[in-house]
Amino acid sequence: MKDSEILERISRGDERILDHLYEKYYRMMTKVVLSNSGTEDEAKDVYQEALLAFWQKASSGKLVLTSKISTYLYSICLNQWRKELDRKSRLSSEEVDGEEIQGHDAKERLRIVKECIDELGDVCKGVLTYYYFDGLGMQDIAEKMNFANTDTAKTKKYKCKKKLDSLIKSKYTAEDFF
Amino acid sequence: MPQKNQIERIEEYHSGNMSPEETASFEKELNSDPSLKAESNFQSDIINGIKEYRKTQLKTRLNAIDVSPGWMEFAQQSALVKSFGGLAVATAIGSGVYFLAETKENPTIKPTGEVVAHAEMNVPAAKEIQFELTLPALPATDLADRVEVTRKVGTEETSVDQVQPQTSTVVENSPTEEANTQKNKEETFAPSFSAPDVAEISDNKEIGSATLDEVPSIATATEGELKPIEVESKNSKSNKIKYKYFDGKLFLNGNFNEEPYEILEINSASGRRIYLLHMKKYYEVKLNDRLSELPEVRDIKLIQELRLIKANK
Repeated sequence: MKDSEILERISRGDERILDHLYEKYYRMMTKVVLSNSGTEDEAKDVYQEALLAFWQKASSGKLVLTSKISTYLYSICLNQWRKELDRKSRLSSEEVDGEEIQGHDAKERLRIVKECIDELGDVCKGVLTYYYFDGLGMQDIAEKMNFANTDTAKTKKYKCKKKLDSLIKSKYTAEDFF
Repeated sequence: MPQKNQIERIEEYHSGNMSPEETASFEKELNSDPSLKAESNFQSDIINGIKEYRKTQLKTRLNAIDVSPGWMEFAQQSALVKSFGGLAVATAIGSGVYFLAETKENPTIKPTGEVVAHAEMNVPAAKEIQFELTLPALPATDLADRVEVTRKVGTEETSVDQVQPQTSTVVENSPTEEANTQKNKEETFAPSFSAPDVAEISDNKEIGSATLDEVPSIATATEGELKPIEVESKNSKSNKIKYKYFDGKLFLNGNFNEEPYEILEINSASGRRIYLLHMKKYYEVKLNDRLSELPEVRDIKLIQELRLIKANK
């Protein structure tokens, strides 16, 4: 499959391409980490993050690719792992108490948001994640979700988002975040 | 409650879909309007949450994919050949380890104090091993002499301050074993853990109380090609280790009373590198002709490598 074909299918949100890419480049990409004092788990993590970053950019149409997909992925993996090594060496040399407390608050809010998403139906989950993470247009969302037209997609997105907002708001008030 | 229009703007702002001018004016509004700011933070939480949710979903999907290399891949990359090669090497190493394990059974490594008894008991065992492996056999008397010498070193050492546990690795490090180890572990495994070489000591006719300080910690990775470094150490109460290293001699000055130091000597084609391990910290020994503080190794990667080498000694 050509790179251009792959990109075209990603832009439509075809997740089978994600599987295909993942399998195809697994050895090649995890090697970056494995040969630089990383563990198998760390290698997998870095590769997944990199692939999803690529996926997100490509599916929302924000990616202007000037190299091969593999080269692009490889460079993200390399950067990610460098950052991680950097973070590790910083952590070992100094304590970061202040950040941790802030991080705890943010983590708690994130947990609540995820919990509320779980309470939504599958249609809402699909529409919202395709819209906000994958950055798909209404046309692609309508096709993926088998909606009659883009208007249905728009309405669904609006209603689902409103429902999620109010769900989260009620929990936020209960937990004193708002 | 902000209107739909406002929420849309907030969404645009957080998804980076605003033009630079719009962003600037929106940020001005944010700073002057606390309720808009609160709503913006709230929307940011939600959008991040949705993104994270989707990420987890996709990762779960990826984790379900079997990524172990298939047969086709093997054939394509001729990895099959490689893997058979690997198997052969593994077998070689495996049998090597087996041999080593057998020969190592008797000569146990014990702290200096107990060496005396062990060294004596182990003499016949060591003799057996040498015949079994048909390596250059040493006359029994010769061997006995060696053990005798080392024993002397061991016992007298206890009275000297810097006692080092390695001095007791008498039989393990005898030249025959060394050769055996090297053969089994492939030629490339040059690094060996520092321990006094029996041959080295027995050849040294000057052994006596005067030169005892120099005896410990002589590494023998390259079997005579390189002269092992000589170490002389003095005790001090300071926690800092000071050192001088030139002309193959290493002078150490530090607090070695509570815990002895260990020296890792790595000899490779590119030269010799020396590291020192004390109180769980690694230090790098560089050429240095003025007494100065020993630099600690901070490179995590290097430390991991050194630990590996130490574990494989």
